[in-house]
Amino acid sequence: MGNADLSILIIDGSPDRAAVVERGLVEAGWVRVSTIGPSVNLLARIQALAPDVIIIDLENPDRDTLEQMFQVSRLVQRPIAMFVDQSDSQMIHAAIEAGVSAYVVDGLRQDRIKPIVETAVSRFNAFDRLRRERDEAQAKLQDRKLVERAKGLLMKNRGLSEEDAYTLMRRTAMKQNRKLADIAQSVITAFEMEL
Amino acid sequence: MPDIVKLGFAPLVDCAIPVVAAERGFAAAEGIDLVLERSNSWAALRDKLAFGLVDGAHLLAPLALAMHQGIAGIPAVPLVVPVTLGLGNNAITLSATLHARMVAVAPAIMAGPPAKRARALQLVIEADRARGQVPLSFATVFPFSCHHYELLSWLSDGGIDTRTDVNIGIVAPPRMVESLTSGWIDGYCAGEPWNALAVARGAGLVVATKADIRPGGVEKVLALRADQVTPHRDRTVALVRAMVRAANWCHDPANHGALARLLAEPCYVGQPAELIAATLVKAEAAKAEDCRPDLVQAQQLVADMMRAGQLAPDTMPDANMLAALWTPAYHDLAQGTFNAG
Repeated sequence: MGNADLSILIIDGSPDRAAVVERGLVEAGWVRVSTIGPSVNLLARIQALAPDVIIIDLENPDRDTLEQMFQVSRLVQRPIAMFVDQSDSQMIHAAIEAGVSAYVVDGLRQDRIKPIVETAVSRFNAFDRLRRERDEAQAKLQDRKLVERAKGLLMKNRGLSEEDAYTLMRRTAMKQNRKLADIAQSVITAFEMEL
Repeated sequence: MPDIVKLGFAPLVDCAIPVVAAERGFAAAEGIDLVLERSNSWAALRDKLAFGLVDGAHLLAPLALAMHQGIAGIPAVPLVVPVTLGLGNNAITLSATLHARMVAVAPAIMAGPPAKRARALQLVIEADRARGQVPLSFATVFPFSCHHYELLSWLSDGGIDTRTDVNIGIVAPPRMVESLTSGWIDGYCAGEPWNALAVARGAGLVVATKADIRPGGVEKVLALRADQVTPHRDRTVALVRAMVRAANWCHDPANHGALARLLAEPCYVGQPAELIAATLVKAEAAKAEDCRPDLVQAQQLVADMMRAGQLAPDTMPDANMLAALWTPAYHDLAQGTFNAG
């Protein structure tokens, strides 16, 4: 049986991240990949999908429910936590740090699980990096809007040219060791108070 | 440079002591930069503690024992419990429907002592069985939790066979109320504010509290990785002193308003301050002397775990192992310095 035959289930509170992980696994050659979101009827769905490997985000509250179900249920093959096999502690560390946990059917060889977990970890990290970059980009856009508005106020009320208004704020920011956007915010607040 | 100590916690009222230690300057006064990291699942908290992503955690007392003993679903992790934490009461909440059925079938029992009210439940179960209904389902927060043992004990005292008469599953605390309202479960045993929230939403009623079932029992502990304790003895004493001072602060009713507002913040419990304040009024005392880990508590937990079928002869902890885990020495050192200073 080749690697592609393994059935993999992704459970993630974030459907966007689940989609990214799923695509990553499919692109790497695993074809039997499914995802489910938060659900009160997890066991029935897991039973229907009969996964060999379950990838679930570490902080998912459903993990507590799942672990106990695995222990008592005769309906699903008993999956065990990936963390039980400590032969590769580096992989486990990378997984926990990325927020990935995995359950595998008992007896499945470590070398078959490892590439799956590694793919999931790299996709989790990539997703988080993208999200961070998006948040930063949004913050930057917000900053730029503040600076534009403050510049406009200075030009209108102090009769400065655009360049002078900008230079004044940048110099003040450097002198006070503050961010340009903070200074812009102060300028806006000051003019708003005068109104 | 202050020592950085990272602690994991779960969103429950009894995370109060570490939160107060960090937020009200008790840790800083001991030269400790206390960093708190929230987890919504006990399994996540267990894994982060086991693999060193945090130095310690606000943990279910039985889970600390299970991890130390290597029966918590992962390999053994040597831990030290230098101080116990406890503020939020556990309680058993039943769906409004089930509660009404119990009152209808046995009003006298339901008006009697809460510890005995499961007898009314037993009558409801018998009636269901006679009509061929599926068994009722109950949830606790984790297999290795006092909630689990308290629910089992309450049900058993009512003459209910917990293995055949009911289904018992696990649901993480933040998921309890929605599981009850969706009808997925008929009742649960959880810590506050997750009972008060069900009551406030009209979804359920509290039928018994921890104080009714197991008065004075240990609940949560501060569990530290042993590899973080042994080489840093002074820091551990300082950390425990910060916790004890925070406990005293939490214990003072004059601070309950501020405590409720602090815990209500989204990064901690994230539920309304009024709801949390109400649970503080009812909460058990958490004075300095109550934070001392007592070996009797650990022995009680071992008995609970045996009764729940979680310990086998080959996983039974011996006296040395219990003493290594349940360590009042740091508390006594901290208190000694505390009294002298």
